Amino acid sequence: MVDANIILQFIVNGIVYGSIIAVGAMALTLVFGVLEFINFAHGEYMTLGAYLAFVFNVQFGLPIWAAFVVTLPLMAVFSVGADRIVFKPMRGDNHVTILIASIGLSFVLRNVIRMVWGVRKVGFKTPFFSGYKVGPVTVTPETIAIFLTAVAIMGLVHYLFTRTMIGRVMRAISDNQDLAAASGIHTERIVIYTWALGGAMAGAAGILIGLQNVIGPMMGYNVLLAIFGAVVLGGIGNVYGALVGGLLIGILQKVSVAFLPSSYQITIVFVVLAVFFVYKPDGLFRSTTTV
Amino acid sequence: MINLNFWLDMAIVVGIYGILVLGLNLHWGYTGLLNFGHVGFFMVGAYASALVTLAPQDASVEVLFALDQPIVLGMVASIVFAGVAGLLIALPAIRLGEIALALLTLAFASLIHSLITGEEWLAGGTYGLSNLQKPFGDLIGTSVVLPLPGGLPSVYVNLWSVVYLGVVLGLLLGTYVLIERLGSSPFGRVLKGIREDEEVVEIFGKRTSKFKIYSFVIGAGIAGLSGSLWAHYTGAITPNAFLPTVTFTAWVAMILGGSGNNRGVLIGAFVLFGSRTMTYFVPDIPGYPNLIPTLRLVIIGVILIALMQWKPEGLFSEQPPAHLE
Amino acid sequence: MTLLTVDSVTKRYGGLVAVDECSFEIGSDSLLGLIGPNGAGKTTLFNIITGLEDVDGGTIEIGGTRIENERPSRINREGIARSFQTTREWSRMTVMENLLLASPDQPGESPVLGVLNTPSVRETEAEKIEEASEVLRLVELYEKRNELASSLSVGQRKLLEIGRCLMTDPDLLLLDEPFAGVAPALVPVIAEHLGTLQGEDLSILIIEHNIDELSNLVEEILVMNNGQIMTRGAPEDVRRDREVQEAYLGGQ
Repeated sequence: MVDANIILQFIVNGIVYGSIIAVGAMALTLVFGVLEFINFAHGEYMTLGAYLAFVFNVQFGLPIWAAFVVTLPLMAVFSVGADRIVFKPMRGDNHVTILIASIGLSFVLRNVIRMVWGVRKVGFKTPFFSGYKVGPVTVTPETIAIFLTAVAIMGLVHYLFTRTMIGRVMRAISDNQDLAAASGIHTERIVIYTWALGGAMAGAAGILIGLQNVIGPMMGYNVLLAIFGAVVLGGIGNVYGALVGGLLIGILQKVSVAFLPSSYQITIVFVVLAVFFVYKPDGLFRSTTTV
Repeated sequence: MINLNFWLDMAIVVGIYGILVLGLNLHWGYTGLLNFGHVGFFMVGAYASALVTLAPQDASVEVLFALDQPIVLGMVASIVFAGVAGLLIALPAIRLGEIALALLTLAFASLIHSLITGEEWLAGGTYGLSNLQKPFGDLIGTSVVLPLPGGLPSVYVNLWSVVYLGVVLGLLLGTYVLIERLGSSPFGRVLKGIREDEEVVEIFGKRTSKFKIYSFVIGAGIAGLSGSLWAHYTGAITPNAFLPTVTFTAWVAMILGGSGNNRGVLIGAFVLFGSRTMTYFVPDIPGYPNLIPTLRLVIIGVILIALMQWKPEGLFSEQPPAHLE
Repeated sequence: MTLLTVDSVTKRYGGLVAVDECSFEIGSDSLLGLIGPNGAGKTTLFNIITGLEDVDGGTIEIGGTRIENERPSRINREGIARSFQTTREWSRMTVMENLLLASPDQPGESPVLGVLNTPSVRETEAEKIEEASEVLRLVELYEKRNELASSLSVGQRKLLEIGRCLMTDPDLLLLDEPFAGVAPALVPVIAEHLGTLQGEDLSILIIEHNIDELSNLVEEILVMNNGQIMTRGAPEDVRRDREVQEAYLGGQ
């Protein structure tokens, strides 16, 4: 019925797209794991990262990789700053209250972006390479670059979590809030590092989406739901779970296009997720918190 | 002569959204249920009413059914269909906790939207439905000039708008009274207890899942009614009018006004949806066509953050039932 | 006459045995204390009796009816009410609303009847308000009846929880540390209320760490350790019991 080669192409597309979702999801779940709320403005962090890189790339003329490298620390700073202003005064408040504040933040960011850069979509300036075939599947250097970058970020996070003190502490807190609270490791420093890493990763994910697609004020919000899905699938708070969840969601979405009209892409994610959640509320892997 | 039609239209829109938000208030403000798919019930109600009242000869697109019934039946259908949708979601989701309900409601809204957009044989797909019946249709186009006493300039209104506003306000009042009475009754007391500490309510002998389902279905039905009012006001509906932003704006309106307080919630709806209409007044700055609407949303976001930091219960706090004072 | 029978009840959490073949009986019209070192299983026992947790073995009967593993709402109807170590009042509702919510048999809890506010709904509501007012006067919270529960002090919240329990007309009242965190001046007040309550077809079992206050109040103390009842007797005897002293010193 449907050509196997086409399915294979969709799977490959799904893996690339899924790796971007994975990076976004890992960032979101990390923040949740350490700070115990879902940052609804996460999508806008991604969007902002893409626009900042756009400025460096198109307006300042930096090559795309340089724009990428320059944007990440800026996003880290921004993320910590946003925490200072919005979330820090609310530490310890009811988690739904903080969630709603993050919705407010998303309104602000999305519309400031609209004010500054307008509503029309823009794109990065990248050297053009035509795609080439690997077996039955077509890839472009861009998709390869996206995938490799995403993998590199995952590798970096893994390194941080296993080899550095800060990373290990972050992971410990994310893995087990009660233990962390009991031993009092919840210092401001950890919080700052978490936001910095999460913000940088979100920005990176945004740039990758912009590379794969176009840049627009809604770009982050549009993938936010898929990212939520990946977070829940992998077990809320579980960073490695989010990685796997992201890949699975990405593949699911892209492969669904082979069978259903494209407008069902996100719906498929939801329905699968919702049904999945009914039977396995902890996610595929151990969820690190109960909600 | 002053043309009041603009204000009439704004009042109608605010009234319709007010009903929508009252339904959400029952879910979240009273019962503590996380419903992130409220626009889905709005959409179900709008489309149900549209299809029930559409005359087959008026349908320019393919539809599942067009029953050519009077609008009142359309409104009843909107409540019933939306209520049933609420029941179908609530039955599995209620037992599963906050996040499950949040996800399932998100899924539902997305699914309804995709179904109607994607399955064009259902309800016109992306083209939507048009030529919907409007009540008192003969009044459309009739304008009335009302002289005002005391040397004030006379006002100029569309008779149809005045009448429709009356309908909307009447139903808004009815919904308000319904929720107030529900809320101050023993039933409402159980809902609030569930919001505060559900397990203890259960310990005191009440089956909480039953109450949560009732709350969810009633709130969904109310949202459906507002959908019907929308459909017969605009006369044409497309899936584009039913995006997640409606849900989130409703949430903001509710939180702003003070969840749990119905009057506050209506004021929140007025501020939020009214301010959107008001931005039409502010002249566009040349070269920046989108500035004012986006600035409005920035301001709303800032207000929301500030509110959560300093007064999370909203502008108006909840009042205990009067009969207990 | 025996009211509550707990027979070989066991509860495990993974490898940990919290309640270990625990058995005891409570008669009607009793006022008893339950003490034991931290981790002895006292609150777990309460949770099990009130249906918040299931048992891994054993049975519980009240008035002849088996209640282990039943739903909390069902157990409440069989005549058991409890308070919590850290109070769980319904914070954003008034004191009066807290009591009214706890009361059973309200036709107004149906959404249809509630909206219509039928005569039976109004009558019942008036009756319940009467009842609640009496209870509130008993626990000296009547003045605060229209205040939000969140505005009460810890001691007042403990009294509120007791009042709330009384609205269900229980046969057995389980109180989890009613004196903990209470201002010292209020402790004898609470104790006095509990003393007067017990006369009327009501048995009370109190978990407490304040052994002095408890000894003045109850007729008998049960001692729990390592998930079992190790001994029971009159307060003076229990306090002098060597094993009990060792349990407290040894088991932290």
